[in-house]
Amino acid sequence: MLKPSDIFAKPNISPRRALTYNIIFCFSLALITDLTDDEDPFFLNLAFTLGIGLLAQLLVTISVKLLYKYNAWIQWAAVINSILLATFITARFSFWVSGADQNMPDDLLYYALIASLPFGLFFGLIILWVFYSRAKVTKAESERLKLELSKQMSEKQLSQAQLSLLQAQIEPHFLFNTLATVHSLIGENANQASSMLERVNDYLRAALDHSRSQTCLLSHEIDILRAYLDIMKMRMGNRLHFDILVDKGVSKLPFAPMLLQPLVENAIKHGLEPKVGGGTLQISGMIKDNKLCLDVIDSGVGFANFKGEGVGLSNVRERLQNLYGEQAEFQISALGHRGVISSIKIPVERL
Amino acid sequence: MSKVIQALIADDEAALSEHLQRLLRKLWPELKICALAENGQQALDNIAQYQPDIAFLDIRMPGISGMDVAKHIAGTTHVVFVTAYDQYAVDAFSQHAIDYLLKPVSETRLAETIVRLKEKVTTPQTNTDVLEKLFQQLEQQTSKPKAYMQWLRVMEHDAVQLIHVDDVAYFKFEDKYTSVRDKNKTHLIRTSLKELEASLNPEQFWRIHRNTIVNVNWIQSAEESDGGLQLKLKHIADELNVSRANKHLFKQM
Repeated sequence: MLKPSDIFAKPNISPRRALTYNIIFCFSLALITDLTDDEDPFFLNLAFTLGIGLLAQLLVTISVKLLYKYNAWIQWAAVINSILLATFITARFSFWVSGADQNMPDDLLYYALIASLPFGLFFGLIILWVFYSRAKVTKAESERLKLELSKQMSEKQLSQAQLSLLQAQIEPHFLFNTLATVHSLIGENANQASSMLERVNDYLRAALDHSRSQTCLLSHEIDILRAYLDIMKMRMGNRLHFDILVDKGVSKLPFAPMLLQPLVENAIKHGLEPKVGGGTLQISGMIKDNKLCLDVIDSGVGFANFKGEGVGLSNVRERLQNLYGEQAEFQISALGHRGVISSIKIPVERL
Repeated sequence: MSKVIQALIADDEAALSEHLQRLLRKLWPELKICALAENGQQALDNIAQYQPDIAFLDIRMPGISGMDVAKHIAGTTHVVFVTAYDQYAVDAFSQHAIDYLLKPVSETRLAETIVRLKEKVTTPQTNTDVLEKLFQQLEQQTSKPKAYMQWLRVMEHDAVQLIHVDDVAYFKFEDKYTSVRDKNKTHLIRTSLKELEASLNPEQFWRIHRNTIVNVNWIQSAEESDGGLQLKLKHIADELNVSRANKHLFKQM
């Protein structure tokens, strides 16, 4: 059941709108009374109905304001009471104005007053019912809108998440440099340019598919890394050597997208690219002690340029915890200036 | 012109520097390319050896970056930066009217640069002031709004390990070293509490004592004892004292 304090509030029925409805209702009521009964003049009927209507609204508004914290039953009781009180006061006042109370004995007067109460209550309930059903409709509508909005929001969030996953995967510097390299090869070494473009194609396609799907296999992530490293190898030439040693059985395990990629990208960007002579990168995956162990090892410059921020690494750590819980381990260490080992360990049963 | 104009190209990717060389040969046949350098150090060596009039420098290079090379040679050699994607840098270059080329380098864009270079080689070189201003601006633009420290470097046997600050329960200064307590063990670092306090997120890390900084997320409970406060922590049995001066931090808890 709706509470009166909810009905007479935005977004359902504002006090001003209630007043408009009330006045129209009282006016038509007075008109009907005038047509059916020609005893009293129209303005007297109007004064009577308007008196009840406006006074009732005033009392209802006040009591609902005072009682907004209480439950629906108490509030409804107060509303009915307000209507009865408004009818009683108006009737008493009208008797006084018309001088009827002068000519009537007291008991008859009170009898007439009480007899006016069902009249007030009847029409009061009609207009309340109108308000009630209107409020119900608006409420249902606003709930539907809210639901729709939240659905749209979550869809938007989802596509936003996919987009940022994709953006994280395809770093602009990498993409533009790679395209520049392909461009520079086109005239001179068309074969190499074409095989590089093929790898770029593989990489982009895999990254796109990857960022759209919820569940993946480790082999997918490895495919992307292989394409990425092939491209880097073409660009860096002899400065980069890489090895991917992942057991066949291991690569069939389910694995969340984008967990390994940032580690490999870091190893290249902060480890090997800044090193004059370059070096090697090794990715290994195996099951040890019922845990999936993934290592990314590079022989780059170590933590030489590390400033303690590492947003990409923080993301990996956070996602690992969210996806696989406390038992998932993430460790990064450097052996002096001889490169960095980053390793992820996930209990197999959590995959 | 009687004097032969010389240029150097520095890029760690051979394909890219060769491409630029081909384009230059085509568009400016009189220009002599004295060397192709693969990294910053080589570029500096080559510049010292050949003293070219112009240097085309890739910004990201192993060892010494293109920016650093430019700093060394400012005033003696005209610099043209070559970059693939450095939004900030490109803005800064255009503001200081320093030449730059975006990879992949197009013929039309390179032709414009050549026209400008031909004018410039006969006039005095880019002075150090302009470069200095450029670098200042680049630093301002690329240094992000102050980010809090996320990872700590600790020594583990003979390796350096990274620990995420969320995994640290507290830091405690004990003569000369700061101990870093995580779930499993205590590591020692040389960073002072004052330095840590400056780089950690103050909402997460509270200085509760002259010698202690605690990770708020690790606090289990705070109990009154002898007029001071005693903190119990999650996951580990250690207890920490809150000094009288810092008791107010726990008023609202």
